[in-house]
Amino acid sequence: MEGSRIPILKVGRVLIVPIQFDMDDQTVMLLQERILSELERTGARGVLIDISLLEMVDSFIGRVLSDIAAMARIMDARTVVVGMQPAVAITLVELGLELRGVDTVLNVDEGIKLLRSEFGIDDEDDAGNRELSGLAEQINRS
Amino acid sequence: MTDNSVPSSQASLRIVDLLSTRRDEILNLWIAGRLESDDFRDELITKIDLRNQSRQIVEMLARSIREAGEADFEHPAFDDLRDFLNEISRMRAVKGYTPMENATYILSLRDVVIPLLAEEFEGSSESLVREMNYFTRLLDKMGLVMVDNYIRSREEIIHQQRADMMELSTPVIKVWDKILTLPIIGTLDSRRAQMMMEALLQKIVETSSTIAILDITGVRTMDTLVANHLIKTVTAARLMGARCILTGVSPAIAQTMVQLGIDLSQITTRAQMSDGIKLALEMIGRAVVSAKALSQAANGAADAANAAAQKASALAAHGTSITESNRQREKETKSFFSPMPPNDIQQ
Repeated sequence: MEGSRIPILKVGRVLIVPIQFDMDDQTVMLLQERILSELERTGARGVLIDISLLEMVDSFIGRVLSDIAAMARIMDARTVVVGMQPAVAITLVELGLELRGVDTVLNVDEGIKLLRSEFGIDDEDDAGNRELSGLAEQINRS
Repeated sequence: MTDNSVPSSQASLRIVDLLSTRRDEILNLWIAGRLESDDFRDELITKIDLRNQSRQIVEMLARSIREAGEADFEHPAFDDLRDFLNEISRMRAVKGYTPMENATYILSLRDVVIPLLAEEFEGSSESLVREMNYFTRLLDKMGLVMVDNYIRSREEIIHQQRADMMELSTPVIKVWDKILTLPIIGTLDSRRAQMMMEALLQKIVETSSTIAILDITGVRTMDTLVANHLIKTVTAARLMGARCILTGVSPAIAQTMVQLGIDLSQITTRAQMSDGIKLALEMIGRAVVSAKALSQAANGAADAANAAAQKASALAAHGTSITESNRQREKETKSFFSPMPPNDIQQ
């Protein structure tokens, strides 16, 4: 099944989903289910879907992306769609799809930055580091 | 072919002889007529050029008619002449002649040639009418070619200019790191809006900008179509991850937009380009401050730092004095309990 070939990488508390080939309807439905179950399994707080390699996004995929964002929101995770190509953006606009409720950013860098700053989703490592430094401060003070 | 159904009596065409033997006379009359008329504009063409052109036309006409017999202007014998006329009319189109001036130039040859032709024929009116008919028909065709080609040249010029304008009209300027501006001037039709959108999106990718300022100061009128284009552009940019700021909305446009019921609540708007830039800078975490305020702030910070440094040095001095006294005491203790190992002594 093609849908299971799309990797879902957990980095810190963010799931990164790089989509590398054009998807058919079934693939994208399967992807939706996998992302949601991964969210449940890992307790991630953010989903970052990279579509920079997609040359075609049809109305169905557009709708599913909106759906994923809405569903993840209910599961307390924020979704960011990253790296949409100009041609894809123009097509979606011509189709009248605005991907409401989905945050879109330019590249993965910006996506991670957004998830961290706006939504307060940190890497586990970072959180750990902060705890450590807090602890160290307390020790120093005493 | 010829519609007066006189087959190949080429040799007997008097018009050819007339055009070649009395060429200079015809030329003089023709040009004199041109110079007298209102059409002649010496800022557009010199007399010498006009004479040369006219001479070539008369010569080519004589040659072509001789070759073609009494065939129509479509005959291959007229190809050279047609090309030459095309060239002239293109030149005239570029220089700014009107189509009427263009056609009159050729047609006025008739007024010169016909009386001379009548002179040649004297009595034989039947041949005169035949040749006159033929010659007039030729000239009419030539006049049409001139006009036709004039219009085509004009259209080419217009196309060229439109293409130039298209290129010029969609400049996307990077004003700061991650900030693009797109000044829109004139009217937005679908084609231009499409080009504008593509140019903007492309530039967003190239410069990885996150903010685009669309400035519509130069847009005079706004209708639903234009507004739709704007909204589409903003939405597409948003889908790619860039936010748009709309600036330079004039009172007239603001009124029209509200009256038309265009919903711009999705778009951030600012009055002027400068406000847009300020907002954009704020959005990427920068601020524009006056140099005075900046230096004051810097001075304040420096003062604070100085104060802190003074405090620190005072503390340090205090510290050294403490350590000094400690050391002093240690020495005393050491001398007191001499067998004590020195590394056990701690402050």
